[in-house]
Amino acid sequence: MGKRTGAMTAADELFSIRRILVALDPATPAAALLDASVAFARQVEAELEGLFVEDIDLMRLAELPFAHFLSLPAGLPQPLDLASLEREMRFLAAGARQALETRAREMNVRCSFRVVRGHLEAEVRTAEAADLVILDRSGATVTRYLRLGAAAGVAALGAARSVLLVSRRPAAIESLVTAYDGSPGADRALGAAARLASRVTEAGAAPPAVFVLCLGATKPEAAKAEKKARGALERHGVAATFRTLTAPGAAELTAALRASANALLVLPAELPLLASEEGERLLAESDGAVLLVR
Amino acid sequence: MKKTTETIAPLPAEALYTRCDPARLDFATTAELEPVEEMLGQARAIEAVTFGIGMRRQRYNLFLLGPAGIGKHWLARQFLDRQAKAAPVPSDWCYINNFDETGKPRALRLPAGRASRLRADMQRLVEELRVAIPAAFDSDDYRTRKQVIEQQFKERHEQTFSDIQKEARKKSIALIRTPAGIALGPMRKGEVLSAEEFRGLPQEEQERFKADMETLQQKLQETLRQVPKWDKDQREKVRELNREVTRFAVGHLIDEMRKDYQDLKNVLEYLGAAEADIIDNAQDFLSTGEAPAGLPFLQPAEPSFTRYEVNVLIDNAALEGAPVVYEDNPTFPNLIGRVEHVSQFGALVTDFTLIKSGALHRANGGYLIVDALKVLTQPFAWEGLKRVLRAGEIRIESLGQILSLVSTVSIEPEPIPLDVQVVLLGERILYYLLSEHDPEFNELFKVAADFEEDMPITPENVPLYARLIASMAKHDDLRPFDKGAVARIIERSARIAGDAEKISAHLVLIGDLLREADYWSRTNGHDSVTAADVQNAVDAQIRRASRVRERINEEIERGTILIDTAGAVPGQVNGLSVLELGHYAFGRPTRITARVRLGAGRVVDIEREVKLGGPIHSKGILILSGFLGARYAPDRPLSLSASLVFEQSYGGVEGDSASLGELVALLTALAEVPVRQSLAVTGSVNQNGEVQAVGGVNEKIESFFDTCAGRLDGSHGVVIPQANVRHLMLRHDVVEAAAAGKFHVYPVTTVDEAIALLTGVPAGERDAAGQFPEGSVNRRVEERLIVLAEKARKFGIPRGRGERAHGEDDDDGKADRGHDRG
Repeated sequence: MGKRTGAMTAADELFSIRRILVALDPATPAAALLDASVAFARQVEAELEGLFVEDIDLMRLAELPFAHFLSLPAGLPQPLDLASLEREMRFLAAGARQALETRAREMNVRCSFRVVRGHLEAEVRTAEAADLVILDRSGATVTRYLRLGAAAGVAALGAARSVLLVSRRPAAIESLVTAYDGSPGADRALGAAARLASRVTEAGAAPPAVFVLCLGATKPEAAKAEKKARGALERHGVAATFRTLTAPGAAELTAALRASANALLVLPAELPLLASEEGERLLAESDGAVLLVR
Repeated sequence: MKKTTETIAPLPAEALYTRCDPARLDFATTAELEPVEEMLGQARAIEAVTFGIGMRRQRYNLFLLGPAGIGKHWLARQFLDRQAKAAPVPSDWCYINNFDETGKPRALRLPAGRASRLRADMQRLVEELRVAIPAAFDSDDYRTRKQVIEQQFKERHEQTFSDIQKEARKKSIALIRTPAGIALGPMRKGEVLSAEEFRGLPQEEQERFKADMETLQQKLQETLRQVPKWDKDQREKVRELNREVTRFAVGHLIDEMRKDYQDLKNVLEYLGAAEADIIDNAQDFLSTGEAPAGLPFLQPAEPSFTRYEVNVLIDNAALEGAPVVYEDNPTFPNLIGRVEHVSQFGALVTDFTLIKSGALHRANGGYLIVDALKVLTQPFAWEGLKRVLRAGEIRIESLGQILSLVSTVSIEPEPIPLDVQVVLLGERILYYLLSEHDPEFNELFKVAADFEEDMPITPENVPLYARLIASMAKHDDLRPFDKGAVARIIERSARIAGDAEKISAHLVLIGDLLREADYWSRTNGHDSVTAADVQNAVDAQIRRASRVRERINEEIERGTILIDTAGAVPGQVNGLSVLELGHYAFGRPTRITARVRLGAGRVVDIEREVKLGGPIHSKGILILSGFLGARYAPDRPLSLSASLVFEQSYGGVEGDSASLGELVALLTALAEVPVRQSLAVTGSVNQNGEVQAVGGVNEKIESFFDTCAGRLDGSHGVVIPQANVRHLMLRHDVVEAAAAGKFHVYPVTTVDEAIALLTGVPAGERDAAGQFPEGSVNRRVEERLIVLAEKARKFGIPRGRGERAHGEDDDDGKADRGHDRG
């Protein structure tokens, strides 16, 4: 661990995380998500809560007398009964709890774990006690290219708090990419990027490269946004690389955001791009993790 | 008229040693002589070798037979080297990977010198591919095309499932991921209906939901069944792309190589197969060389490109002409080749790069020289050699495989066609044994070259022999030999040959003598080797080997071994035998005694009775019985029992050279006539009493001379067969003693002459009345036998009851083999 100043910085004021909720359901591959969550919680010195959501729709379905499911990958019909499903849920929840506790103990992170029955999206929307919600971005595999549960991105957009969407391959934060248009949401995202960059550096790792895409409807607006972002980051003591984009289309902006492989995208949750199809795809498919800041 | 004691004169000193007169040699030293290229005295062998090599057809292999040191190897090498020089250089051979069947490596034939180049070219190709292929796959073009393929299939997945999802949504059916699969459930207002809610639906709607779910499930099921095929199609498309990219990267490099091997169809085929394999296995060239996580031992750190290596088995680039290979250690693998294995994590593995050549591979297209004894004494080597010669191809198999002793995974290299002529070198006995007992031998070794062990001393051969000495001296970088030395060497060579009229062809023995004479010349400070140096070398050789001989003489001197050299004793003769220890042969006197008594006609050979006598010795004894019966008792039973013994002989007796001495002992025992102990005797006799030549006559005479040394008074001497006179090459001191009249060598042709000499009493011949002269030895023998026969009749000793010579015929000529021994 690097040195800690103890004093609240400007970035801390903009983006402070003390409590993190990591939410998963039976279809979520738990191990990678929990690993990434514990690592992140340690990095930002936050408390971590695990939430296993027993899918209420699945439970209801299992109650139906004719319920069955197609096994993967063979696609063979199998009976689905409530007792077996509940047993399976308990088993998965216990496994997730043990994985979280073990990893958290190793990383010296405070953690708790609870199980609820409901909808993952609803739980995320209402999770106000946490400063940040971590979700698996990819969802459960159906085929090589198809995943069910990738609606996590949708859930993230409707969340009350900032959301970190992590991929299955958690990697060290080597670079941070953010989009800045001068809006208050963009300020919060920039602050979050600055704080994360500082945390990583303080933790003794190499300072991550910070890329800022400065957006504006016109060139002067984009330049203005760059100037403002530059000033803000200088105040936070974070070096960054800036690039201006004038009135970028969704595809152009998506491509610019995905230019750095395995980067952590730190985006304002209100970024108009995210409401588009490209944005949805960006949340589901980008190489690295995505942090939606609120 | 037979000679008497007085008429048999001892041989003159000149007859005991045939000098080579240096004056007959018209050179001062061998430095003046032209070395001789051809082999002397081996015209027959040379003709056979010339014929055999000239034939050069399958199964016309050669066997050079003769004693060790005769020069078989030298001749073979000389002829084969000469023949090989004019022959074309044979092909190179390599083993390469069989890309269709790795366990059966292919053999590749290339013109001499091209195999190494191919190996180097393939190494260079792999090095270039390790750069070119990753570069091709790292290009933007490749990445884009791969992404396009992936996108196509991704869209197919998405589109298909999207259609199902849309239809499901339209029919209010939820697609839900369970921990182990996908489930379909009736939905209302975004939530799956509970069982209670579902039961609350109208029956029609329930049925509709069920039917829709069934339909969707079938579609989903069908789609999921398609997924493996889509994945396969995608992999195939990516593979085809990879092949195309690899082909582009590889093609021009291999085409460059093809230009260099346009003339070699088999290499072009190999390059084609290698190219196809590289294209199919391009990922090897992209490998990072890292082992799979957690399994560091499963893969080597670096990807292996062994299968593109060329194992050059035979590289004839440096050859001029055909190869002539001498395999000094002809074990099975050394002849046939072998497949080595390496240990990997406890398992023995191998591949075509571990195939090692054998002598037959190296000699292919030329000649292989092997010692017959060595190949016969190496396990399975002889069988392996014959199998290869029979098949006309070299098939490498380990002994373990052949005998099914090991089950290690091995390879079956493609056999290599064989075109070799094998030259076996060995003793005559080996040739005859193989001819007799191995039916394949005569089929495979059709040409025998039989070496002479000596050659006649003729006016033509003597100068040639001098040139041979010059050649050998030059070859071994020795001082020149003066004419006296050469003459002495020729004399010594005659002694080695055991014949005053011949010289030895044992080049090894002569070579040893030359080198040792050179040593003495250097020690004595001579510029050239003289006769004295040669004599020093001969004396030193004898001295070095004489420990046993001297011990025997010492024991005779001390009376431990009883040999009388004075006086006269009936039935006791000094016989002579020869011992051979290594290359050194020497004689020793042995007392032969005979005792006779009344008996049933049996001459007992005590040596045979105690199994110390060999078959030839026994034959000699049986001949004595035949002689006795025919001469003295042709018409009455031979009623004696005689025993003959080699006194103080404990090591076995073989040969019939003592039969003359034994007969004299027997006759004098019967006649009770004393035998002069100052004489020794050697020679074999036939049933007519004629004396026949024996071997080792020089050594025998010298041994008795040594025994008598110090007390020579003119009475001492040795009786030898007349036929052996031409073999005499006696030591100078013996010759000098003979010249001084102190020691004599008497040649005899009959047993009667020997008896007269040894007893001083005439043997006697039958007169017209068939009677031997009164007082003669023969008369006394006959009278004694008549007395014994009379006594036998009185005692009623039946003829042939046990006491009779083994195999002796009855009086009527029939073999009486059924009688008991007494």
